[in-house]
Amino acid sequence: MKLSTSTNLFGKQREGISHTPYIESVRRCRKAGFTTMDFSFCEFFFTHTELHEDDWLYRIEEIKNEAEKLGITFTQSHLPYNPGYMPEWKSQEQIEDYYKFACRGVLASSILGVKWAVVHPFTQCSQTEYDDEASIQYNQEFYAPIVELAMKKNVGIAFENMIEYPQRRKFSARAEELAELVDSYRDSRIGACWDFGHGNRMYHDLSRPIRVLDKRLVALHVNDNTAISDLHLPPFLGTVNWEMVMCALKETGYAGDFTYEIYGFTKLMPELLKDAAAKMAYEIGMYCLRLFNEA
Amino acid sequence: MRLSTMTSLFRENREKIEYTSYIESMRRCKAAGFNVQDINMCAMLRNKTELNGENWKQVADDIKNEAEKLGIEFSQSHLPYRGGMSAEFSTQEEEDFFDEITKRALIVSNMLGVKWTVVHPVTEGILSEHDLKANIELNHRTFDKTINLAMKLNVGIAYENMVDTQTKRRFSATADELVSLIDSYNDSRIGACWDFGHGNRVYTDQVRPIKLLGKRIKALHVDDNFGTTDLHLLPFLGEIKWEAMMKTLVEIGYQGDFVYEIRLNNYMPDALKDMAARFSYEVGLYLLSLAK
Repeated sequence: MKLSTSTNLFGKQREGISHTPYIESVRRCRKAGFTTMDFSFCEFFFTHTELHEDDWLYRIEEIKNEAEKLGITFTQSHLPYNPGYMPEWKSQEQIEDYYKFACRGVLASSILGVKWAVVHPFTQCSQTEYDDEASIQYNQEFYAPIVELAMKKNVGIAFENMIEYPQRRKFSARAEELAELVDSYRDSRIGACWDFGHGNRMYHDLSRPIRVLDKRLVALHVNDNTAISDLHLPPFLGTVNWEMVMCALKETGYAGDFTYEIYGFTKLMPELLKDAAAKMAYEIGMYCLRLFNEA
Repeated sequence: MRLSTMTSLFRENREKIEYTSYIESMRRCKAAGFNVQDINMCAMLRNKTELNGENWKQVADDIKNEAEKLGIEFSQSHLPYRGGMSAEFSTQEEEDFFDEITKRALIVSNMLGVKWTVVHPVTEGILSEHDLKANIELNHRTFDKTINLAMKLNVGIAYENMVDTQTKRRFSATADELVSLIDSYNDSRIGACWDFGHGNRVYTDQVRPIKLLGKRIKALHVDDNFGTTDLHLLPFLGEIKWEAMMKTLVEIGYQGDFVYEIRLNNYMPDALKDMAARFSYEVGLYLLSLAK
């Protein structure tokens, strides 16, 4: 297991800029110590990036070359997501854009050598409610073109556990639901991504869902919170029991990376302090890996 | 304005239930860069600190000697406080215990040369409700004994801004209420402590209350959050507009220190705490640079 971070560690800027160029993020993550990374394509849905333009292939090649030069490997990526229980679209154009950029994310992942691209499951709550089979069917239909392209391009798809807030249950917040979704594909190239911050709102003991998912678990979103809101802080700034988590990952033979999704740590931080913050996050991550190795 | 931290930066331990001792905490705060500190005695309420023992005066002397040796100045302290907003005690025993630890904390503050010690105002909910005059009278009745001793010991009292609960208003959550309380004493040794985290849960723009309190602000509790829960995050991990806060502190001519009340290390393994404290020091220096 290697320590890794999403490019979004340097994504947002306090000064109002909502996207740091990917190459700058990659360089600064490398400087903090990271040699394994997760490429975040989530920005496709929320802001404008250099990969929106027609020369995106040229841009992604540039990023690939820079990563090779810096000795960085991309093992995970995060495809764009629509944040609702069910997708909420403002227009037909937005739907078309979503699929266009999700597919672009898959192609770029393939170029970068990514093994697992993460997607967010939806909850079927318009035609029926609290119906796992219906949610599974909906996700299969919604993601069909993306999964098909990913399989062709040799990129695995990992469905992530969602965060659940009071009053409405969200499909896949519980590990058994996520396992059902993954199993419905009967394909080893479809797996699960466990987000510890999301899980911390659902579980007292996060080793349980890890054991339930077991070999299905192929990717991680490592972040911490106080089990109230989705803070996306580094480990040990919240209440996740990382000692138990690392033991459970070792026990289940988890073979992926330990991938930070801790944009909450830096998104409101002045640029001048971010590099020091990233180095601190790296040291915390290395401590977590020692727990794993010694478990 | 100097950068300072509460000794509680190292108090809680992930690996054990016991608290880190004051002397170890202050040494580690100093090693992280903090020459000015706030002796946080809130945990005395749980009867688990070394200042709860019979030899507390000797402990305080040891802390003072170590501080002198290390070149640490204690400019602020935090007296123990009880959870909730009420001034009522369930039993006489509980009240006697609280009186005793408050008295000790004041004497320790005096021994350590503390200028301002912070207390939490209480809210009247028995005789009347939402009644400014009644709230001020209740706080006088509740804190008169504490204030008299503090004045004798040459320690100033700073009333802290509180936060409304989910369902009830809490007296002194607004700066206007805090101003009324402080001005009722007509004594320059009674002032305000502004907690930015609390302020962020009450105000959209904290510039206004800070300007309103103006020279009454003698102490700060520096921490960040997202306006919903009292996370006590390091500045810039929440949404407070620190650039505006620092500018406003300069504008009002704030003369006290910039004192962290953060839980950065509360869940941190001991092996990582010193590094985290050093990072918090760097963040603090950056903030002070905004006040120049």
